[in-house]
Amino acid sequence: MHKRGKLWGLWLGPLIGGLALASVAHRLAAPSDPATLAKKAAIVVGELRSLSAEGRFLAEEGQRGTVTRVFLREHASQIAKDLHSPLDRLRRGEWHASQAWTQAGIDSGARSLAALQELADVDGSSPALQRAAAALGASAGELSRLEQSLEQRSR
Amino acid sequence: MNKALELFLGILTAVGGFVEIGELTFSLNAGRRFGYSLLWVVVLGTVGIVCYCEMAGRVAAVRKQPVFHLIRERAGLTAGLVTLLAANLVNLMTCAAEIGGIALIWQTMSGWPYRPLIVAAFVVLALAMWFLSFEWIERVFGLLGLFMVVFIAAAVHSGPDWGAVAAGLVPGLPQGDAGSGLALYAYYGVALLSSIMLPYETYFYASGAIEDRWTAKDINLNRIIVIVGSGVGSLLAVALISAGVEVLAPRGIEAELPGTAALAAATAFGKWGLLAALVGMLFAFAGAAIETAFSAAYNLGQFFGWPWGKFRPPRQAARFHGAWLVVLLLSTLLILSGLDPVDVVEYSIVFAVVTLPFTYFPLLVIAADRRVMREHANGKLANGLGWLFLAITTLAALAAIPLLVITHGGKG
Repeated sequence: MHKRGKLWGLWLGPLIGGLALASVAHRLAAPSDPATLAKKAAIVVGELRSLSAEGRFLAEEGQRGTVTRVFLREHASQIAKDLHSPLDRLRRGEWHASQAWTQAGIDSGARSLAALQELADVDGSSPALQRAAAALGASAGELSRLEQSLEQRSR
Repeated sequence: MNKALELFLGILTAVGGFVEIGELTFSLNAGRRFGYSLLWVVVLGTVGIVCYCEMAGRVAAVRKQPVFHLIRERAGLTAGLVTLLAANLVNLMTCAAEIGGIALIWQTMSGWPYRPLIVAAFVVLALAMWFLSFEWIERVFGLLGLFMVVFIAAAVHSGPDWGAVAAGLVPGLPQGDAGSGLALYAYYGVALLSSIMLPYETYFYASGAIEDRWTAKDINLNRIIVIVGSGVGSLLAVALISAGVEVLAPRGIEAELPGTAALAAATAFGKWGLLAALVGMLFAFAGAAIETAFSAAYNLGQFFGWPWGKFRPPRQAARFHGAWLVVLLLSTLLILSGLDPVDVVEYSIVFAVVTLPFTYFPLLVIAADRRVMREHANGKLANGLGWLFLAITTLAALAAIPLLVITHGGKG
């Protein structure tokens, strides 16, 4: 049994390691063609869209009074913090900065960020929450259309 | 203690401790991306964890041998050492993610800043681990984690399509996000399976059986706790998938924060639902952080033959107590360095599945050995399931890292 245990480790460990290395090598060797770049961009834009949609959901729940003031403020600031990462990747990514979609994504992401920061500072009044929900909903919609267009280019 | 009460508490703590941040994230996102079509993986994973935790508990009760003692004995020093390193790396990453998750939830409840809350979480966990007995740690964190049942109530309240739920119990091709492709479906399937069968659960359960001084007379208790506790606990994973389908998918939201899950409960039950979800997650994550830190120390103690166990005072098991404290501290530093807890947990879940076959093989071999286990050795059902799940986890271990790479970390 001791031998069987050793044999088990002897073939399985290297096989897992080999497959992992092969997949990483395949990824590194993949060409940076327009379709691959569009796919990567769609993922980043998708992250921005998801966070904007979550901000809108939070603002709507704030209007319905189902969340506490502290939760509203802190969750909005956590979403805003998470939004920085895809926004920075969009700004500094490998895609060409002058492309119209890049700027459109950055603009929508920046609007979401501003609305989330407003949500984090909100006094809990209904008009302010409504404004934030509308701004975040509009950004999420724009980002969703951009994501779909990039998905189509990646096929 | 009265056996019935012990059984009842054992089941409740098993249910309360079933979900941690990885399972929460992957269940929500699996539902958001693929509807109910991955529910069958929850059933599969639950049968798998029942099968191997039952074996681990039985071997511990009969032979007083926990998992890493068996790995050292059956796999040898070199293969065993590699398994130990991999298992403890996964424990460290999981513990770090849980500490980050605790701080994020605490922040949404208190309004205090995130980083000091990471340090506060470390202090509270270390004090609880140092001063509370094993029994009380299990009860406090397991029972308060039961507040997460609010997700089951929210799932029923949302009025799911029961036909789709039933259809999801049968393995099939993805529904929902049709553009995501089979690789992404497979990635979520593997990750969901891993999040339910996390290896630390087996290490902790077997070590806990020895901490609780189980004997062969407790084999039936072991069986009932594992089957009922995991069975009911898996309903939480189903409820989280439902929250992904009914709440997140229509709004196009990918769960990246624990607060996202709490919003699903708030939608159903308002502020009380929100509070129950936050308290439940807080204690469930804290319980998982404690279990992973203890598991790492158990693994080291059992592999190297140190005196180990929470029942031993620090003077008698200094290396064991020092080890969990170091793991807790390293996990805290990892999260303080700025790593995102959800990113960490995604990697820890994928690497966890890689360690599963190395953990399960020695356990299966000894649990099936009639010379060692005598009348308590595996029967035909346990052996059949054991080999089946060894094959499944081996395939999952081979596919996990390539799927992580191909799907851009599950993003698409």
